[in-house]
Amino acid sequence: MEKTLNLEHNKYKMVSPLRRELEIPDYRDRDFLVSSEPLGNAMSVFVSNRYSEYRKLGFPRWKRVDISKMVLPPVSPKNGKHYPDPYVKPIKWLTSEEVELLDNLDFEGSDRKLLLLGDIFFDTGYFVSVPSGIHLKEPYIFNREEMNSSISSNLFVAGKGSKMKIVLNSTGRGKWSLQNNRFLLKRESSIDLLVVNGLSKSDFSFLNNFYLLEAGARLNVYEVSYGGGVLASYHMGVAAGEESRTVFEPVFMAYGDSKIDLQYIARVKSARSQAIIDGTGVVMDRGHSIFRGTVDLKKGSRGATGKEHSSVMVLSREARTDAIPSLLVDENEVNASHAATVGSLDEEKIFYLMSRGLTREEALKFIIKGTFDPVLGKVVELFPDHSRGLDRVFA
Amino acid sequence: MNLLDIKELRAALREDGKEILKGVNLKVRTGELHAIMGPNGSGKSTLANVVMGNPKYEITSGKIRFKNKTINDLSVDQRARLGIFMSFQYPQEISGIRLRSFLISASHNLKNDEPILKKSRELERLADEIGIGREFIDRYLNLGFSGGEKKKTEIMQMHFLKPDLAILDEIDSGLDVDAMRSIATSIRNFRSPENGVILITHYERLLEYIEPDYVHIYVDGSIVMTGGPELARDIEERGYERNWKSYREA
Repeated sequence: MEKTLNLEHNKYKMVSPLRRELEIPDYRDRDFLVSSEPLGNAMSVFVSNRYSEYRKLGFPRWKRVDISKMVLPPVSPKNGKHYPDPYVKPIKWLTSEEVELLDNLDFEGSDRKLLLLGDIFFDTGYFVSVPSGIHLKEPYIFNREEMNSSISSNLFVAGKGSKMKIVLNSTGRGKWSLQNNRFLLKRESSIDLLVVNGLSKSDFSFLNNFYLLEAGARLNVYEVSYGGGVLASYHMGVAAGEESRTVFEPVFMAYGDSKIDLQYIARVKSARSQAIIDGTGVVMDRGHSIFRGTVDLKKGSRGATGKEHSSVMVLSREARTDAIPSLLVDENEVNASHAATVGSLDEEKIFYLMSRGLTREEALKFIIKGTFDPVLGKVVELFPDHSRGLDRVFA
Repeated sequence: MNLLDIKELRAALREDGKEILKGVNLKVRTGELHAIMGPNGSGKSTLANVVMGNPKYEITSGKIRFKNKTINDLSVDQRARLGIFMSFQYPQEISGIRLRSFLISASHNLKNDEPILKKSRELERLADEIGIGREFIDRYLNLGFSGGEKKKTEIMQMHFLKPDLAILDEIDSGLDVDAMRSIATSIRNFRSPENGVILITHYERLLEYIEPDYVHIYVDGSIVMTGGPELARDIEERGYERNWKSYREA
């Protein structure tokens, strides 16, 4: 299993902190039985194994984000809805070989309990496998609301030299949602991924994404998060092959009483790979954002480049942001940097814009929109049909 | 017609209460071009900022009237909508805001209801005329522009927004001779019997290309002397080092 923090140096190993748990109502054996129908044989074994581990764990008590008031949704049998595409099939019918792949892409996620919950109790899940050399222009769309899904688990495989785009839209009115997504990018393949998390006031939304990159693979992740509610989003990219490139470019806006907790880990295990994390956010009202960016250059990553940067603008006295950048380097001859800026509104910029006739509110909108424009511009270019309205949300 | 009428204006930095404007009097009528000259740190830029309404400064006494209306308590955008424009000595760089969309929005607020396409073409024409590439219009506001490009863009904004009073704060600083000449031509073209211009500058150089109606010498927070273009030439020859107090008293 790929752990979030895995510190080892020569004979030294890190001591893991004790896990603190919450006492909240959990699924029971009966729920497990309901949710396990119908499943193929291989998946049935996979899910049963996971359930043994799941039962031993409680839900996490997090320091920064309180999830003690969350209520799990009722379980549903696995959805068998057909996705009209030759390269897509429901995950519940995975073969033994495919389940082995799923098992190999195991990771800790924002919390092991939540990750296991998604692996076991998913109501919707797809396996997307694009064959070698295929370049797809139209993106795969997984829209939580359209699929009427609370819990989903997906597996994406980009075949050698293939190209694909994916949109994961978890915007919805449901109060609780969880997504696990695993991605294998084979040699020289490329994935552009757009994740949209539009939160309602009382939402609890969890996302666990894991990406494994072979040599020369290219991954671009744009995550757009906004609204009220609670979001804990976790992304871990592992550069296993040489000369791969992982880019995380999240934008976020926390308002109302929302808590947006974003975690990006770019782990490089191979030579001459690139890992870039560049986050931009605005917090206002009583919103609270937590931005954790970790560049982890492991032994063997000689010649790698790791960059981590975040910039957050705080627009009200009650708003809060925590920027937690980490740079872990266990290899010589690497190029690594990190920077985090937290600032308030620049009044001289507002004055400049107002001197041209814009009201203060309009100037503020321009500045906020401008903050996000460099990333949203790329999103609009890559996903023209699926980014409508985002510019309005971010102004 | 009276455009700007400043009477005994005193203003201080809001942050620490330090007084910077110490009793400024200035009258600008339509059709006039005034040059305000003074040494570094005398408060010339502060005067421009206070007239424009920068909240960094607080007016402690005196009056600013514009088109016969007291504007002391008006917000920055209200002053802009009345017809005041200020070009900045150090124009702000703002990522993510494209010059074209920003100026079109701004002109809409200034009651220019012409179709967007027409405004867009007007901007392109102005870019050609002022000598900055059209590509600058679609770049982020002042981001990565050279000093000269920023100043030219400020002048382009002035032409596009068509204010009644343009206050140009050190529009000549950091310009080479060719850029200075081109900006001077552009300011001359802007002048009309319906508007007024205040040029704030250190040097007489710019005034070789633009003939001002009045030259004011501004020292330590107030205007100490007013004259014609010959006053600028005198400053160029003899500098600012002299006993201005006696001039003021005289």
